[in-house]
Amino acid sequence: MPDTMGYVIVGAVLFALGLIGFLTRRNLIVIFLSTEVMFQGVVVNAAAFARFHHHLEGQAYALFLLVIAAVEAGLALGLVMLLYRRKDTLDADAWSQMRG
Amino acid sequence: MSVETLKLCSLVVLLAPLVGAILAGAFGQVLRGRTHWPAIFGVGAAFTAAVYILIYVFNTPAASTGISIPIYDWITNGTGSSFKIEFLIDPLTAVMLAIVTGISLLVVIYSRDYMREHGHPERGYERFFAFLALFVFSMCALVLCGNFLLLYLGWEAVGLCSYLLIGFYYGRPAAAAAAKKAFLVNRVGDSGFGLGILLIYLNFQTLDYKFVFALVDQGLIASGEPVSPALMTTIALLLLCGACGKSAQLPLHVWLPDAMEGPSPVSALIHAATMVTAGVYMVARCGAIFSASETAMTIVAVIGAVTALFAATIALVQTDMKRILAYSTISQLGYMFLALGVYAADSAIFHLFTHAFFKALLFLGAGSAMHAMGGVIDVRHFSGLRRALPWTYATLVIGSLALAGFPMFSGFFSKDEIIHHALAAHPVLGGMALLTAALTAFYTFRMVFLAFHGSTRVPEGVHPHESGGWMLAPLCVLSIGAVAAGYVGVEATGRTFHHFLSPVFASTFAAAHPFEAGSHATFWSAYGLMIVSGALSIAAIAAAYLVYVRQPWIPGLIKASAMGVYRLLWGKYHVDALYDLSVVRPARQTGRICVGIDDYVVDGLLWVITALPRGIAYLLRVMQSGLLQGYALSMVAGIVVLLLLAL
Amino acid sequence: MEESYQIVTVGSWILTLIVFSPLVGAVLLMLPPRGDDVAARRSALFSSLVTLGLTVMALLLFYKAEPKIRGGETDFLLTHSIPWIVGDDPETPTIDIGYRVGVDGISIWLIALTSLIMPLAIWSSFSSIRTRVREYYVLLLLLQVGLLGVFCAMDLLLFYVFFEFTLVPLFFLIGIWGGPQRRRAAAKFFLYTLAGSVLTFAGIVYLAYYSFTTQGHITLNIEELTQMGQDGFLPPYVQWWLFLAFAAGFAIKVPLFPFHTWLPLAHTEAPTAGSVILAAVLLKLGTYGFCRLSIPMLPDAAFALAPTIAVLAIIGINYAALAAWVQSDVKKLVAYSSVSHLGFCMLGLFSLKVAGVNGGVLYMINHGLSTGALFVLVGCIYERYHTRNIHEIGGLARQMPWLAFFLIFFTLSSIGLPGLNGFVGEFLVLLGAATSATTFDGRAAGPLGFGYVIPAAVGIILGAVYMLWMCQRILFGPLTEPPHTPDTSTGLRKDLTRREIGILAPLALCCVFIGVYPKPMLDTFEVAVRQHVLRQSDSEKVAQATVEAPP
Repeated sequence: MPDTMGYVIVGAVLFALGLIGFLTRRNLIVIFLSTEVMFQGVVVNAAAFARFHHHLEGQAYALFLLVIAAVEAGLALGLVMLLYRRKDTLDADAWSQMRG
Repeated sequence: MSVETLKLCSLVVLLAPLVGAILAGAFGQVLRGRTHWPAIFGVGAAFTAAVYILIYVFNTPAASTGISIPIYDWITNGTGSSFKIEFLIDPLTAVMLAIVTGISLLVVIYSRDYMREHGHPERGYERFFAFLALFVFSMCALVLCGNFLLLYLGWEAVGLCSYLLIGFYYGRPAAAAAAKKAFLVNRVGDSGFGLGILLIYLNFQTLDYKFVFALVDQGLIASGEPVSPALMTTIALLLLCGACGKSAQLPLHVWLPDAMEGPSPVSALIHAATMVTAGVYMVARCGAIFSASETAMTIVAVIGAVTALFAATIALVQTDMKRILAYSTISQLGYMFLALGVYAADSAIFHLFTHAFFKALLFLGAGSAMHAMGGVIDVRHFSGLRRALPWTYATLVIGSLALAGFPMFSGFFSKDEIIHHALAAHPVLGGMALLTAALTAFYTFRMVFLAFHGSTRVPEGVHPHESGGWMLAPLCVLSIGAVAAGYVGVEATGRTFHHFLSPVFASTFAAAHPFEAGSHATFWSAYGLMIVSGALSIAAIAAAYLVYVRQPWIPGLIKASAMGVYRLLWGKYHVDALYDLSVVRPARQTGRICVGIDDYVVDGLLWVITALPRGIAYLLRVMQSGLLQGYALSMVAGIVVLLLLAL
Repeated sequence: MEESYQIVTVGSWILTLIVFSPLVGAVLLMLPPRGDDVAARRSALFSSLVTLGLTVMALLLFYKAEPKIRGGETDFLLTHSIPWIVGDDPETPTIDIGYRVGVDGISIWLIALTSLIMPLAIWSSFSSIRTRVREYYVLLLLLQVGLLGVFCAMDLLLFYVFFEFTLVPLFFLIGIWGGPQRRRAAAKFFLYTLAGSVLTFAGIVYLAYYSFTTQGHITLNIEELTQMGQDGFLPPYVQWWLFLAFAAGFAIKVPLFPFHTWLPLAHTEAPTAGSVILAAVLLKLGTYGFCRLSIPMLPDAAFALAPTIAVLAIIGINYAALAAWVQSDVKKLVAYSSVSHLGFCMLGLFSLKVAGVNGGVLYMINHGLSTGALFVLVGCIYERYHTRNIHEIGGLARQMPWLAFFLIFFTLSSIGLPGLNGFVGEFLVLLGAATSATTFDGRAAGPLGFGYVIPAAVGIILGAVYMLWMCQRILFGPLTEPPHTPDTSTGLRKDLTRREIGILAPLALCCVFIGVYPKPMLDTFEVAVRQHVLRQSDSEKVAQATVEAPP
């Protein structure tokens, strides 16, 4: 149905925005934020296809994804906290010691 | 006496000195100045047993062909059997054992006083007697052995004891260097010797004397094929390598003069009477192998004659008493080799026998003088000692007369025989032998006159006094031997010595080259040579007396007028320098080249081989930017590629 | 019957106990909190002594059951077998890889050597290791596990696992507690030997693959593979490739010229105990590999390539001897002497004669004893003078008579003085090489000949040259010491302490015993060599078949 296409596009746009943000931003928290946005893009996609197939599996899968996103949030933010304590900055470039 | 007793006696001969050595070594710190007793008892027991063996062999006709006594299996040789520790007792063994243990006993007794300064034992006194007893053990092992492997063991073991004893005063760099030189030059000879032994095993499949000699006598190798003369010559020459090394013949003679750095008893025992005669003994023992090859015998004779003359000329100008005697030993060993080479093995052993007495006597006498002179032995620094050391002088003169071949002394008879056989074989050899005899008499008495005659002068602060009883008694015993030992081998006593030994050489030397015995057609052919050589000896002694006592300005004149010759002789023909330049230095240089190859070529090759991974790593290193987003970008790119491939 | 049951059960487990007891010791060492160095040392020594005790028990069990080997009932004793990777159908397995251990005459004595050297090495580092003491002994014990495992492994994969495992502890030992250039030495040692053994592993994989394609059955059981090789199931080209692959790993380990350049560096930079173990045991892994795997399994390739290996061995003997002569670092000199001596060992092994292989195996043991002792002595000198430079020390005999005695003793053992152990091995090696082309011992004629013995004899001269030169410089002459030495701060005294004499005396006694009465040991080796290493000549096979044929 034409509605599904719209949702898929929204999901794709969200994913793309998240990806671009992940690749270009330097602030650790913003990088993480972008990964969350990527997750949400995939959630939207899953829910859209659930509607398309008239099946609840996709929505269940979306719930799984939300849980995973939450867990990942916990882990990643913990890491970010430790990294911040080490270098007193949230700049990702501070961690480029393994250069060349 | 039965074979069992014989076995017991031979074990005593072998092991008593070893036990003495171990006791002296283990309890030396406790015994201190009494450490000579274990050595004396050990060597004394060995001497007693050796005398028993001699009497047994003398009285038992069966022993004349050799009694084999196996002891135990030593090394398995991969063919199901083993190389054994076994002894072979025959007349040659018995004679050698008696000589070795007898002279050793006298030297050990002598050392009790020699190794003391003002009555107190020197530093290392215990070590000395332990090593000396160990040497007697090794030499007896060498003589008693019944197969080539045990011979090699004894051979190297005496080399070891020589190393330990030459380097006794290890604080002196010269002594340590001399010890190392002796061991290494002997090693060079020993590797040739080892190759000869391996070749024997390869062809005869056994190292047992009896079997090898039996096969050689038949002219066959183990598989039944006839022996090729080239093979026998090769084996004989390889064995000769070892003999030249051990007996200090050309070209491996360079270690013996340097070995005089050791104490005088060591020089007397090891480097005059026993160890250096091991080569002669070995050639005599392996008569079957040597006499099967005419080439080898010729080479033996030539080496003997040349060495004898060579060493005698060097001894003419040396001023260190012990070095004169060392060169004289080399020269006399040359005589023995000459005798062996002209198929007169019994004469060689006879000369070995008499030489042991008078040479040991000379060295011990020189040691006595050295002891009195506070360690100085260079005749330029003292003279006129006969007044201060009458006994030493007397015994030394007796020994010198024997060495010089003065008529009626032991050396006269044994040397005369050798010259006789040499002349019969080839006039050149005989001529060289005669010339050497004259030179021998001359330089021996040059030494005596320089040291003991003339005005009395001694080094600074030295008060010479005659040596004590412990040193003089052996000197007296040896003097008696130097005079009388020759009489066991003369016509008047029925040539007991030679007849005793004849069964050993009957099938080998004598068979190959039988002499016309008893053809004393004229007075001149029987006794002519004796008169000639006797006269030569007396003339040489008189000449030495004239030149060094009466008209002492003559030597200086000769030296000035023949400076080139003098320098050549003083530098011992520059053989040491020659070896250093041609062997030692190139070898060290090769060593440096090897290290260079290791560092640059081999490691360089490794560097080149590892350059490939290193290069790739260098290229790929760029990917490790350290930037978080860079990694993320490559992850995304990878996913894109996978998706494209999948779809 | 009860007693034989006992022996069988104990006998099955004894080897596993021996191999893993150092592991238990290592784990126990790690448990207590860090800091108590003395307890760590004592526990490590105790653990290695336990292993030594177990080894003695194994030796007794071995000799009790040895008549079974002689009678042909079995090939290996004290075996223990746990199948691991087996094919689906237990009736006809297509894969047969498992944990298999067992010993024969050769392995049991190499295990004995390892078990003897380890406590001595541990004891010798009591005064020299001061930092991170516990980790040091843990690594030594782990190293022992690997070494023991190699010598009793009866499965190729197990062999390889233990073979590689020995690299890791030694890498750390050299890299952490070593000399100034330790990082480079450890890296070079590790990477060089690893590169070689990876090629060996490729060979193993190829062997498995080949046996699968031709027989439908992958087995890595060494006994079966040896039988396969000797019965001629491997065609010559396969044998060649396998031989070269195996040789890549083993030759580097031996080390055979020209693959030896890692050794001087590794030995010089390693701590004393590391050097002792490296020289005494680790180098034997290579020769053991040749003797257990390459020669029995690949007889045709071994025969064809033996002359090449013999030539390399002979070059190694003389080259390393000359290189040793010009060294100024004593430890490097002894390291080069190892290369030289193992050249003799290889010459003996590849003479493919019973006497030669016997000599080679005995040489392994002798070299372990004498060179291990030499490294201990060098360590003693270094602990007191903090230099190994020959030009800086001299005339030590006056001050250190015990050191002088042992140094001269082990020098003489090393240069093959008859009456000591070195001579027996050396002589048998030369005998084997000289009689290689004959059939004196009932085995097929070998590839070498008398010509190979002549340069080896030159090597004997050179061997004496550099060792005696070293002794002269260090021990004789006037006393020369660097300033402020000897350093007696760590409980040492001028001459050797009782501990150090206690380390060297057992080695010296073994040397004398093997030199005077080597026959029992040689007999044991001979049985193993005849059964496992050298293939029978055709006439012998026929003779044996007629004997075994039922009436």
